Amino acid sequence: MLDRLPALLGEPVDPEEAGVAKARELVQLLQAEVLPFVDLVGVTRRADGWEVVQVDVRPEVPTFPVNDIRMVEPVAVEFDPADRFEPRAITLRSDFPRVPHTYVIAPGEPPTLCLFDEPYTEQRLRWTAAAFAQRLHTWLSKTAIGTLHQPDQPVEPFLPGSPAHVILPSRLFDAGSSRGPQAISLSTIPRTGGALLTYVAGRQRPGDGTDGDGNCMAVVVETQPQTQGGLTHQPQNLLQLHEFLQTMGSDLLQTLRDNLTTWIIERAGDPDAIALIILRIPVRRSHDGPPETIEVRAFQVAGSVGRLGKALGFVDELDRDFGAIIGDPGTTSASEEVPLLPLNPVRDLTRRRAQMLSGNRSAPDPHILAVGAGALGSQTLLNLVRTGFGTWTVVDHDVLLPHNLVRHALPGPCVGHEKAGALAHLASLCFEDGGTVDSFCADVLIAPLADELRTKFDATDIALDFSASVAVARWLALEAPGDSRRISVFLNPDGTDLVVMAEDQARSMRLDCIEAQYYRAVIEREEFAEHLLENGERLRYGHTCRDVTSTLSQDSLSLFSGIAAGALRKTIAGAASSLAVWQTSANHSVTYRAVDLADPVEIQRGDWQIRTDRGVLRKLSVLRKQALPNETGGVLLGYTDHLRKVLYVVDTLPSPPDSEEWPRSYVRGCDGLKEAVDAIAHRTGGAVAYLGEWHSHPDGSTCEPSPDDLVFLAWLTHHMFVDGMPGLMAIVGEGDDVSWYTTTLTSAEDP
Amino acid sequence: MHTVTFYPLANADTSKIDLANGRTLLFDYANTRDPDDATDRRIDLEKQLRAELSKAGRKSFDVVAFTHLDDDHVTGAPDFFHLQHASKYQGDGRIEIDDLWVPAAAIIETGLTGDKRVIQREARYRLVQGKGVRVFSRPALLEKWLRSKGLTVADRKDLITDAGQLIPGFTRADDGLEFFVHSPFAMRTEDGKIVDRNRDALVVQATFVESQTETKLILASDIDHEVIADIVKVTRKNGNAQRLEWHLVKLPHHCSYLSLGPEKGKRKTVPTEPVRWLYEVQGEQRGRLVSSSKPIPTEDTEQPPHRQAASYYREVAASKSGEFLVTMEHPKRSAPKPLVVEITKWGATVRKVIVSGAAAVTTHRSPRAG
Repeated sequence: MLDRLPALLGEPVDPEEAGVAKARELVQLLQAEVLPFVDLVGVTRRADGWEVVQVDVRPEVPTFPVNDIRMVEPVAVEFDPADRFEPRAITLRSDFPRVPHTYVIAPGEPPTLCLFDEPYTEQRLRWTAAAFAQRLHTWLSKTAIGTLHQPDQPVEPFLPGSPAHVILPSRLFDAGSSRGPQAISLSTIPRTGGALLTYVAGRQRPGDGTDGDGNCMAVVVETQPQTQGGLTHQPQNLLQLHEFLQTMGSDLLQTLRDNLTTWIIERAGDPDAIALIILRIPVRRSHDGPPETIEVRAFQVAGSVGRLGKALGFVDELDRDFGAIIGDPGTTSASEEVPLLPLNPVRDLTRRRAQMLSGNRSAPDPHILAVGAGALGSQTLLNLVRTGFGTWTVVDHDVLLPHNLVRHALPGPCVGHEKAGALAHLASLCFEDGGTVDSFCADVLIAPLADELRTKFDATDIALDFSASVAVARWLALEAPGDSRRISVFLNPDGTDLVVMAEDQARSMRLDCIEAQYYRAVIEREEFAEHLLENGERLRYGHTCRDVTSTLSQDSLSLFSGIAAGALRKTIAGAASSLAVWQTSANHSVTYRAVDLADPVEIQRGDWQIRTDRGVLRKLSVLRKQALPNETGGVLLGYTDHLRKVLYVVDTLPSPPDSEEWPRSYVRGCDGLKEAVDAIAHRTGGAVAYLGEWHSHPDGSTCEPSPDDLVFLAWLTHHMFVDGMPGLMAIVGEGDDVSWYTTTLTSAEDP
Repeated sequence: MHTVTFYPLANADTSKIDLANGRTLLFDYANTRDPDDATDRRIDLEKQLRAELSKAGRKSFDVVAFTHLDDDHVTGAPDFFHLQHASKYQGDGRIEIDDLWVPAAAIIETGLTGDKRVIQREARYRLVQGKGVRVFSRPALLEKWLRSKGLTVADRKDLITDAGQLIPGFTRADDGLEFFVHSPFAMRTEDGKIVDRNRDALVVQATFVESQTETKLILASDIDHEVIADIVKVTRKNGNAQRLEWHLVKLPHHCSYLSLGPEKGKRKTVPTEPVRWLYEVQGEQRGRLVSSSKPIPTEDTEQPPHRQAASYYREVAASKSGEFLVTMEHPKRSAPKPLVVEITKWGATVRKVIVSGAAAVTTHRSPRAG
């Protein structure tokens, strides 16, 4: 076994003459006899200048060790004079057990003990001879009782890795992939320096289930489950690999012959194809345990399928008309002439694996229809797609313009392309199993909706609004087909805050009602005082309050799209409605602010629908009680959706100081009222304005309008006609009693 | 996990057993270190044991056994232990002994002086009181002594254990440990002669059980090869050969050749047949032999340890892939430390910890800085 030992050790030298710095450090340490349990035996030097320090280690060995570690273990430590490679501890005992964390570099070499699990470039910062000797001692002690390999460490592999990667379809890593030769399409990508290539198997085209034209024959060999041992040396040729697999009960040469028969004779496969051997070794931690992992290794056979065929007895190279020589088994020795190139096989990424790697395994996996593929939408969508979350339909009608590149997920080559289609394509490149995003180029606000899109709305689990458009959000809330839950995500005008509004699963709280409560929060809460302002100013005409300023850097957008992705995943996992705002500050800190939502209230009055919520009613009721026994009142604030004839009542202002409040009457004053209404309009980016009036009735009275009230309503209606609005009056009575009245004039002359 | 600790005290014995269930037993106490000699490498036993007890939150030992009353097994004990028979040995942070174990000779021997005499008084006092003591074997002289105190053997039978018996109070089930007593004893040989080993030291085999693994320890005190021969004879005769099996043995009498055979030998002491049987046949694979002694000399010496005896023990260890360990050489001659053996489901493991420099510095007072 140790036939290479003399070459490894070199010639003895006086320990005092150890010249390699780290070898000398170890020798001096051991000569000082300060370290118990590690004794210096001698020093040798090789022709290449490497020095080897031989030591006897006395580890902790119990009466009944798990592995055959002895009371005294002879070990050689070799030192690179240039200190490029880590000092390597090699056992000098020929019957040293094959245990985890050992590896054999070349046949006939004794196993190396793998002492450290970090690269030498890192280790070197802390390397001392004393720490090394201690680690060697601990390594042997722990191996004696089988605790070196921690339960939380993955099981040890049998074969070393390779610096050259081959990226393969994930199905080749799955059980049952070992039936017959597989045609895959390999492309090669050279690495800097020229020596290495990366091989990439063509990804499945969406839908067709093939790997392209198949310039490579992959043969998968699966062994019986093996108990983890130490790393063995890398097989250099077909015979070495065959012999290695024989120890695991597999006959590689026979498997290759069978596969070649299928490839050459049955399928008339290309003899010039690349031949790839893929090993699958199920590895278990201990003899009585189940396999914990499958070790997958790949080897490229030098030459081609033809060369392999020749070595295995399939002949006729001259006219390339390959055939098997029946009954010719005598080709084992020829296999020694077939070099192997070890490749590091890497499983291509599937959506399921992306979920696992993102820690999202147990998250729901809904279908999401996203309207809008702008900066925030495209980036949030890609964030979620990359975590394997959901299947998607993206709907957008825009094309990508150069200035979009500053903040859009799409790269330069997509300029001029429709955002939706390009985004779906980009997303599909994430996984080998391709498309989890489809696209539809349409403007949802321009009726009628295509049947295909209508079907998608009907079928989706979530309809997501990335449009930064109040009109789209309102349409999704009230008109879009289907009964999927609606969620809206947008930034405030300054691009400092992210807003996420989510309907509940049952849709009892619609987006438009959340929107109204969002404005009330902006009016009421000090932290939102500047939320809807642009550079401290009211928005310019033509902007909507979700239209982000054109100056915003990608770093902010990247922050928000990250938060949005996480918030969406969490929101979708729950069923409740929500309104949340993430506010950033100049130092990049983010504050999360949730807004409590009140139940919606809907009242139909003639042509008009009044939409408000319990929060508004509570506020009116409190003001009424405070004024009792007198009546009180004030103005109602909100906005109108003329398209749908909806009056959204958002808030109220307290009775102005010059109002007259009596037990049976109320006259609303006007001191500071206009200023207060204007301030709210300013603060809400023009969204909220004067909408109507309310007053209270005393206890014991109904909410029926008095004759005075009717005169008042006529006065109000007359004035609001000028703005194209109906008159709106609410009477607030005892308990929860509120009555709403609207009247509309057909002309100014018709009170 | 149980542990067995042997303390570096040169040619003197102190061994401690700490059971997984928290019970603690001490076999012998010989604080031999010279406090005025800074170069004395022996451990300060009192300080060490106090530290270990304090770490375990204890102020007493469940058992303290004096295997026989010789200086190298008793020295300093009256300064350390709380003794019941006289108030001058009480209080002041002294360590209490719940149960005192002595061979019968310790009660009946005459002419003892110094610390030995103090311990004898304590053992006698406890025996008269009828509690907190266990006496091994019941020679006629013990009976006579008891009569002089107005007592009979029958009155104290619960406090007396004979060779060939298990020591009451320790069980495999409750403690993961049982003791089998080998010595002192008296026997009638096949030719009718009486062999009287009642004046000899307490020798026991301890069987530890941890996760169903049995680990066997023989504590051989100071017995010589003739006593060993008699123990072997009587044990085999009674069909108890397994009671002389061992994974770990505290070698008798500080590695003296006389514990192997009558002739020291030039290079190696040749053991008598029963002794050979004890070590070579009854020793298990990876057996450890511990010599409680000074470092093994390279030259021939009058006093133990004898290098010739060590040569034999080393051969035994090598043949079993085991180890021969010397208390004053562990982990290194220049700085001996307590030799700790862990008893786990894997059997016995000699703890071999390489203490880092920083750990060594931070666990000791620094020298004075100027």
